[in-house]
Amino acid sequence: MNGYEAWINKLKFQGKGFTTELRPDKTYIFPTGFGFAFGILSFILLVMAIGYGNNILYFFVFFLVSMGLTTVWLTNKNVDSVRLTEIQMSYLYANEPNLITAQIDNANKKDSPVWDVEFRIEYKGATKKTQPELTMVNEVENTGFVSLSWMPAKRGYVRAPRILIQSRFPFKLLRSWKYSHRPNEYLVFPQRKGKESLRTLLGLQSQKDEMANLDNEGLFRDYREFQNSDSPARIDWKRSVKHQKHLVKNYEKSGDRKILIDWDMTASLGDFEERVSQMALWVDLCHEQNETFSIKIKNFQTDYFASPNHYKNCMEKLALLTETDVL
Amino acid sequence: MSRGISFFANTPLAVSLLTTLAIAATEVPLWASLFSFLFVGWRFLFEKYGMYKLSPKITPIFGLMFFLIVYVQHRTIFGQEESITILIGLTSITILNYAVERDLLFMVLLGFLMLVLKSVFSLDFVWVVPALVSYFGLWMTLLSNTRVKRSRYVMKAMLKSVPALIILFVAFPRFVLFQVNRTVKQAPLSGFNEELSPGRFSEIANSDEMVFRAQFANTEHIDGEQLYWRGSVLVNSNGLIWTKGITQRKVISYVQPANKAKVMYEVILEPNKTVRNIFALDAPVKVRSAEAFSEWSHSVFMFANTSDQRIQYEGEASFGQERVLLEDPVSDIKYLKTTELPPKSREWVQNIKNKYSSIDERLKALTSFFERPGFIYTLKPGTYGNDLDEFLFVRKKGYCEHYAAAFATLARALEIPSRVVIGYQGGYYNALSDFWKISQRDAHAWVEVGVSGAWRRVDPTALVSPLRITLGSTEYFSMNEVDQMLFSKDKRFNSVTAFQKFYRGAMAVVDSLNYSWTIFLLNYDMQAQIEILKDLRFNWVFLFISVVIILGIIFFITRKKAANRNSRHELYRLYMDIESWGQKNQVAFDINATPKEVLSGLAAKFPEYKEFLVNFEKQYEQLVYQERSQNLNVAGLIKEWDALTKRRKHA
Repeated sequence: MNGYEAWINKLKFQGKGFTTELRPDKTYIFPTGFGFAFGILSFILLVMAIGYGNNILYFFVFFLVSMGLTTVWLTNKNVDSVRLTEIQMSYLYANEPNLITAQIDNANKKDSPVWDVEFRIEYKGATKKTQPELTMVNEVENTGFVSLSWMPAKRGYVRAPRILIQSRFPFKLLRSWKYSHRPNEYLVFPQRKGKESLRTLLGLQSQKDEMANLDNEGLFRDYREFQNSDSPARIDWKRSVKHQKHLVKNYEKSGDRKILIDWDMTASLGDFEERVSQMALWVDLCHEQNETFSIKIKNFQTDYFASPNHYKNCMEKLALLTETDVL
Repeated sequence: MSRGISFFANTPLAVSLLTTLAIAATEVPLWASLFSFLFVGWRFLFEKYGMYKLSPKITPIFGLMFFLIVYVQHRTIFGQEESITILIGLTSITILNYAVERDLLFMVLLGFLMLVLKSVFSLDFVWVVPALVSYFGLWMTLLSNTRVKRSRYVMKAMLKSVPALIILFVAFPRFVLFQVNRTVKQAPLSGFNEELSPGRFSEIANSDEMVFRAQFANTEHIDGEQLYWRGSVLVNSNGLIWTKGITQRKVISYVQPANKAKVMYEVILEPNKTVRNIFALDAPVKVRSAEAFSEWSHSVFMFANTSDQRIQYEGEASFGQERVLLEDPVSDIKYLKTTELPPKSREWVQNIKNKYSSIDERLKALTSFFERPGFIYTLKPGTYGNDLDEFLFVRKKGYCEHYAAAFATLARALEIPSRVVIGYQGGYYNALSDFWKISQRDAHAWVEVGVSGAWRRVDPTALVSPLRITLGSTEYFSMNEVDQMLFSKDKRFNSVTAFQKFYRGAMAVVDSLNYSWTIFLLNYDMQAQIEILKDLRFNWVFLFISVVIILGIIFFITRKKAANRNSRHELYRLYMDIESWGQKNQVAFDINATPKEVLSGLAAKFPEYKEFLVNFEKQYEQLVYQERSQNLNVAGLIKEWDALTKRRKHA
């Protein structure tokens, strides 16, 4: 088992992500540009064979045509055998590229691998330019994995994405494709975006006289392994490469410092979604630096905690926050 | 220095495309082949030694140049030779420019096109083998995944495509929609010419190029020395030079000797630009062919047109050396005309005339003259001009044309009606497929003399060198010259070495395959298809029922497979129905709306459905999120939904 698979398995069995099964849909097939050119060539040659009444011309033309027909079957079978059986992902954030990993199963009962299959999460209304790049998997003997990037458009519950599975294997004459989707829904956390940093938050908080230590932002303590709840941005890649595992920095906690993230602190931001995103950013920063924090939204306030579960609860609250909740 | 994508590193591509170019290059002018070689060579030097790469802006100029040269030469670009020349140019220029995957795909298409177009020029099995290798390589090239065992994969794919190939090839009706004008390529050097002017034969005696193949239907054993393939008859005599003279198209009636059995044979004639003659086995009785042909005087048959395609014909013949042509009487004065003989010949003729008064005796004296030791059958007799005396009395060296011309001229001088017949003699027998291969080196000339009111064949070559006729040209010309001279009168002499035997055996296998292949290709037409259907006791009702049953089975299997593969829970299908119903009824959903949001939206807009929707949501969540399908009343929900929508429709 290589490092990548070990990492995937770790994500899978931590039980923090979502796991779901997808079912394949119908498989479609259509000639590629090269396939069209090949078809036109075959047709012209067939007309020539008729005109010349030449059996060897017929032989070669029909050989081309029969190879084309065989390709229809091979290309279709190649895509048809692909099953995306499981999707693993960590927390999802709106308008941020989230890495999701799908398990590919080769449903072909015979011992024949699936070759050159491309995957992509499809967005409705996206153009060729705005669609993400296709991710190619060269070979799947029995099982494999593909990592895709998904950027949900909104927070809250969203429908599972539609995944395009396509291939031009073996001879690039035809493109066969299908979509894998299921009516599951996922809770998407708000986008972590804002103008105000954690330092600002602490400044704002000091004005409210609810905190003793103002200037201790937390010092580097040590490294720990990456957890599902961590942002991939926190990974110290240099260190990770050296130790062959994903490491993130741990910071000293500032004693008994407690941080309150209050909805009212975002009052300077006019837009409701911007305020939610700012709250999410602060929650994320606090969690990253292992701070003890609480969120307060009008009459609702959580306890002070510094745990992945607390982070999840706070983000869920923000994910489902509506305008009526802040009236 | 980065040289980008490599052509020569892609072995299947390089091998298959260069083989294809080599196969196609045999059909194009030398300049095109040289240019092509230059471009490919340039690419090689660029890849291996970092030579300057031509700018992609310059290379289209070469392409244009190819077009222009072809157009200026032929005044068209759509002929067979013209199109394949342009294809070779395009391919080699693309090889030179090869930089992206699109170029590779283009080259593969050009490769396929060139391979198929080659078959317009030749049906030979010999080139089909390298063509199939190239074809295989081109498919391999398209497989870009390096983890796949490419040759194995393509071989499997080809095997899988064989059933479709067989069905298409056998069943596709060979209807004649239109006839493409066949442009005829350069004529090969032919051993057959409707004029006898000794000098050319020694050149073509080394040519193994096939003229036709023949197969006999009802004869147990045939010796090569019996086979005289009559092509044309020369009537006008001028010493060693004979010409055709005026011939007429006519229906000829033959009177065959009663006791001679007829020989049935079938011939496949190779393409030839200049020769329209049908080579009919001597003595010809009848000829049949699908191509237009006519009968001419002197038992000569001719096609209406030349053809660059193989032509098949059948014939009947009698091996008798004598026959009477009622409308071609031997008494015709034209068969006695000759120019004045040179002194020694004139003296010899006068001497015989004085000595013998009857035609038979004079003929015997003439044959004895050629049987005498001293005459040498050789392909290198030197040049004579038209000096009969020099040939007959001084050098005495020559080959079939010299002997036939001299014999017939002397015969006429002796008042024996005579004429020269030209065609082919013997051939090489392929025991594997039981056919005779007649090549250019079998070109021959012999004489017909009119005796007792009938034409009788006399072969002066057989008088001078019986071994040449019994051995056949292939084996005779493979002997060294000394053996040829020493043993030319010995019919039983055979000097074939073990290696020659092996080589001929191997060539016989190739010829045999080629023959079977050609016979199949030529004979498989609409008529053959109808015959096959008749053999299968075909009738339309049977065909219709079979097709319906097959389609039914395919439909049943694919439907069942699809149903199994794409089976979704009925509850999910009902959800999809509900969602699309909502869209039809102007309920706007966000593109990311979850089922729960969709159902709530619908319940808000249609309160009368709320109870049903809440119930549905409960069961849907149980199925999707708890993954429990027990205790679901899906049938009830479907029924209820149908009733609700119907009620609304009626309302």
